Amino acid sequence: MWFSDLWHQYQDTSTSHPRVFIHITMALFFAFGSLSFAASIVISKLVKSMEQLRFLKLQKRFDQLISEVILSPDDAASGILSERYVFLIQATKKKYLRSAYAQNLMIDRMLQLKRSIEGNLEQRIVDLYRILELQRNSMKKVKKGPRFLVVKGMKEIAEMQIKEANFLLIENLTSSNKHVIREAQIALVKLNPQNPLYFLDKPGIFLTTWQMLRIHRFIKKNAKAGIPSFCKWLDSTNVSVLQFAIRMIGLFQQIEAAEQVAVFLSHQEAKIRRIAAITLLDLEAYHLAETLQNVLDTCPEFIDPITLKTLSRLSTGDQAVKMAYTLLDNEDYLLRKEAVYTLLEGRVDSEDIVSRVCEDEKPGLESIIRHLQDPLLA
Amino acid sequence: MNILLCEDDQVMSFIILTKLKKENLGEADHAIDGKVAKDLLSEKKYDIIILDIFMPFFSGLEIVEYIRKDLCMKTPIIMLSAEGSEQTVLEAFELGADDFIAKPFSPAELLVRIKRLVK
Repeated sequence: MWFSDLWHQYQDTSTSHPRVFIHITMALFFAFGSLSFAASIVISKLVKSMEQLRFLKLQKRFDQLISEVILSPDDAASGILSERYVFLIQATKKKYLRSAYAQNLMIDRMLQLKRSIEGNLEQRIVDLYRILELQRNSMKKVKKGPRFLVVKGMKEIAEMQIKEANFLLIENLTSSNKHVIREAQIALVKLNPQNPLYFLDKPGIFLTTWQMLRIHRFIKKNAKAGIPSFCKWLDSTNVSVLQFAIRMIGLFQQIEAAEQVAVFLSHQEAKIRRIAAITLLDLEAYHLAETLQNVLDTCPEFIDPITLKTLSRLSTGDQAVKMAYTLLDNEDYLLRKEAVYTLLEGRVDSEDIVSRVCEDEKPGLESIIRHLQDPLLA
Repeated sequence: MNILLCEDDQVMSFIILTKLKKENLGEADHAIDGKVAKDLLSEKKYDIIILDIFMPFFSGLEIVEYIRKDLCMKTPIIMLSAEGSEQTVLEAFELGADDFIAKPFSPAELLVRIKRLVK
């Protein structure tokens, strides 16, 4: 307001204010504005550089402490740190680890290092984390933090093996956020290597394909802790859990479960039928080809590219070839393609047969054959 | 024995250097990035070089190439990397690395490998 009044007075030549005064006032106003702007930039830069300095100082201090403690000579039998190191840890905790900022920085440094080393030193990092009582920080994040901090806290709990925080992870299995749920599942798997999948029995569990791959990777990596028998989830009413269990039976080659998997070839859900077929193929369950043949004979609507492929690979007779003949003019392109594959693979003279069929009856199949015979796709 | 450690992670470097010191394996220099590594390599001769693959300015693979092609040195090289993919390992060996350790690793294992290569 003050400035606009001044500006109007400046424009109004009839005013009694001398122009020089107005010029000086405006110049002072702009000078003050520029100075404030420059000062705010300088102050923010100073604050930033001070924060950076503080960060570097803390990081250096923490790196030093972590290195000294994890490389300290201990009593090999008891694993107890000498008094000097206990004092060093307590002093650092009192002086530097009061703020959540410093605690988070320390946790990040520990996690980063833990990912790079293994063996005794890895265990020492976990011990140091516990001595510094940083699990409180991680658990607090999971209890109260915003979602991204909940996820971060769960990762820390899993990485540092904080068993007493198991209940927090279970609580988050029913979170309203799907990312939190997924991270809770993975954290539970990592935290309970002896029984990594007990959460599958909880109601409402949903596993995405990516999640299944992550769990599979972890179980494979920790195979020495034991691979669970996935048969026990075959009676689950949860389609997602069923899908996961059947796939894992195939990936972990649990051949003894092949008969139980074959039951799912006639399941009402198409994706379960497909996964059962893929799993039988993975298990090389040749003795179950007839079961599959019977299912497809009784329910022809269950025939799809995957079941046909499984049948053609598992059966030793010409059942798959016969079935493929009937599918050459099916409206589903992928099924037609798989039928041609089956014919080409199934018999020595199959190429001639398919060509003859193409010329006489189904000229449209020529393109499929060209596609299949392309050396780039071979 | 002169050892060059090229690793950008400060704690990791500190641990490896402390381990080397404890084992009395000789003097160790530390390069925090690829640029410093190149400078040190052109100034001093080393008996063994430990290289991390991912470093600022020049990667570990580029440094191996520099050592073998530009400096024409036959110094034993141990590569460290979080990425243990077959392609990276093969590339490192093709460029002239002598050994490869995938992270996570035990520093004690690294020491054994150093001793074996220097023998």
